[in-house]
Amino acid sequence: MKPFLLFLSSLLVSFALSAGVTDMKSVEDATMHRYQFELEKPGAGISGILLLQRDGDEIKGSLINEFGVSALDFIYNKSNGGLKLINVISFLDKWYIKRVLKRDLKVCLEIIAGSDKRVNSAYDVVCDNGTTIVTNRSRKLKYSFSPLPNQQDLNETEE
Amino acid sequence: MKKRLAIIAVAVFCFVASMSAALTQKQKQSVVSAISKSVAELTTMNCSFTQTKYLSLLNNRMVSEGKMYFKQPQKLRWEYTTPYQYLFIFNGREAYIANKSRRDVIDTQSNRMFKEIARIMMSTVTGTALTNTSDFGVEVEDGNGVWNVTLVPKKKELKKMFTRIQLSFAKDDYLISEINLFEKNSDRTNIKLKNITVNRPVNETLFAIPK
Repeated sequence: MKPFLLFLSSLLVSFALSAGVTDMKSVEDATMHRYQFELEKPGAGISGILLLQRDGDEIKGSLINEFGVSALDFIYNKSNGGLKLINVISFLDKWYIKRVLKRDLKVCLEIIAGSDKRVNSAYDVVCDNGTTIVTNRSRKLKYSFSPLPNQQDLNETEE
Repeated sequence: MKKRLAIIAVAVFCFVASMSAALTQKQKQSVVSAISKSVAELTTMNCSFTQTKYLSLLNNRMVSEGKMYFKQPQKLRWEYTTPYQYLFIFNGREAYIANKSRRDVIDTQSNRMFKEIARIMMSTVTGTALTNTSDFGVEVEDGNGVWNVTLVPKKKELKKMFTRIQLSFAKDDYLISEINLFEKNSDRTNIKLKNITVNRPVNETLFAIPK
């Protein structure tokens, strides 16, 4: 009992602490794609897992921390470039944070999803050993995405 | 007629099922006391775990695995080994979080939010969380071979994240076997514990915060 209540508390800790190019066509099918994710700004940072799944013309995504707790969900429409944030965790649920997150996530998704659009000149994109790093120069925000291996154990852990 | 009988049969089944799961207040207190006693006798614990995150928006799930070590008083090492490496250590005062590229150490005493987290930890460590808490409402149900304890957050911050947390304890030894975290966005995280060892020596270095 104790370890798990300590663990629950640690879920909060991990969120309080702390978003070149990968496989450009990696979100072209309906399987779920997983990335280790980091968002850094000078002096602080958060990490987590980004999960993306194509659904028709949309890419649905969830950003969770390593303990499994959701930070935000979103739906990106590939044809019109629209991005809708949903279920944003309370400490990120501020209009000024969401505005930046929305704009930056859209740029990142266009890169990850292999859009033909030119990358916005306000961002730097670097590919380093399979990891895609997108930097918002004006806000000094660095997003990195490292692909995780495919989930082969999907059917092995049935409840 | 057949349809009506089927409905009655289902209704009777549901009633019987609910009767078997429902506990009187006295029974609940007895289960909570037994769990608290078991917790009080726990000096160390280690196990491996499988964590399955059910994503409602994606209608999919993510499985990760790792190891856990616990030692009295208040020492915890929670380590993910696959498909990513992530380490969390709490030594009673400091929390250490590390992934492949980042390392952070937080002094839980010098930060208001972490102080609150530490307070919640203390209330659970001392066993008051199950019996007399302002942090959680507690419900107990008779499951299949387990006691299911549901913690319903009362505090604003926890309520924003979880609608409820369900802990399952084996009936024979009152050891925890499964955790379910139910989130506001309808996602759920299930953690199953395996190869549980209790009250055996655990190396102290596992809880050391790397410098």
